Amino acid sequence: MSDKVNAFGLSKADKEFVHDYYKRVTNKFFHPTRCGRCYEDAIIEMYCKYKKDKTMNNENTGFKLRNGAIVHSRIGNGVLSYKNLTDERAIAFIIEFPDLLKSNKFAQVPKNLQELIANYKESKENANAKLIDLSDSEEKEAVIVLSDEETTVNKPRRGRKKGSKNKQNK
Amino acid sequence: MALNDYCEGVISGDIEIDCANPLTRGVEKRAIIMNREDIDIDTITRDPNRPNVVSSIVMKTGKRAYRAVIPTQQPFAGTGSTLGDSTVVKTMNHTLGMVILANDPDVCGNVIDGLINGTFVAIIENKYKNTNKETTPGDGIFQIYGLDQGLMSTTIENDKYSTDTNGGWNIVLTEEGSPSSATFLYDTDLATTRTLFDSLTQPASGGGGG
Repeated sequence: MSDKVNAFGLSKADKEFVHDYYKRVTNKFFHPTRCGRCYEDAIIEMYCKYKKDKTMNNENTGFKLRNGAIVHSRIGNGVLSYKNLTDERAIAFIIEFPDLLKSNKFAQVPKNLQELIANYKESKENANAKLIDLSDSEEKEAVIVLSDEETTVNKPRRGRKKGSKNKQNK
Repeated sequence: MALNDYCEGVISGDIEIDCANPLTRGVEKRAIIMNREDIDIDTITRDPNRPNVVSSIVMKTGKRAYRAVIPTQQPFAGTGSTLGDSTVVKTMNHTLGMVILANDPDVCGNVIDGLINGTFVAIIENKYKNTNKETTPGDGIFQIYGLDQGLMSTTIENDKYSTDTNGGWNIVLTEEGSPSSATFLYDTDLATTRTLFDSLTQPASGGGGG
């Protein structure tokens, strides 16, 4: 009980927990002030946010922007700021602006930045390939598998009429 | 824009009242103040078409601005601008007034002592919100003090029986010799500007790694 720090029963460890997790849950920084219940308020805020979103912002593995730094995308990615700084967004902006790392906007980048960039490009290429496959298959005639009859019939999707199955049953 | 080979003082706009954005006095309770030497001066970007607008201001790595919250009826009372008394080239003096409603070793060590000889830049939020302006709505909300010459203390006093400060500190910071009447912070739109304003006071490490 010696580490109880105030009348509300929060221990030093409890307060450290708030410091550690507030940013991850709310995506905002915790500013402990001289108010009496700011830690309790922070816990309630974290609880409500987590209950609503069921997720934590832990996708940032080491990118840190300098205070005041904001980057505007030219290709519709919006604005990169401390509020939405994740690995994916940071790398997208670094790819969009190759000189961004030299511009001193970042206070810190992960040590495995090149690996992250390579992974990001690979995942994007895979996603694009899937999209191309999908669009190709949609252009072709749709394949409808009738599992009951264990036969495969090539049939244009738009050509199928409503209620045709009912008529066949009759 | 200078019309001659010297900087001639001319006006280039109508003087009229904006009925859609009625002027209102005062400033909000929350402002930010930063050591001028903590700012990466190279990152300060002025709008080329509107030099009284600053669109970018970034702190040096590991540095941050500090919040100044004055929960009084008239926060930052005494804040304003006056014409300087220079006899060669006229300039403006900008003043930021505030009371610090605290007095203990931490406040004196971390704040008051630094204010004695430091040079500062402050950003206040005006109560006047010109959010109905046709172009660049909200560009008059955040006003910067001390960007040109820096704010320096002209009054630091502690009166134990003062009814204004309840025994706290009365501070007046002044920037003398500023070439501009006012400087505003505005980047793209109000939301982005507010994000920029908020980002200046985040913990010095920046974005955080979760």
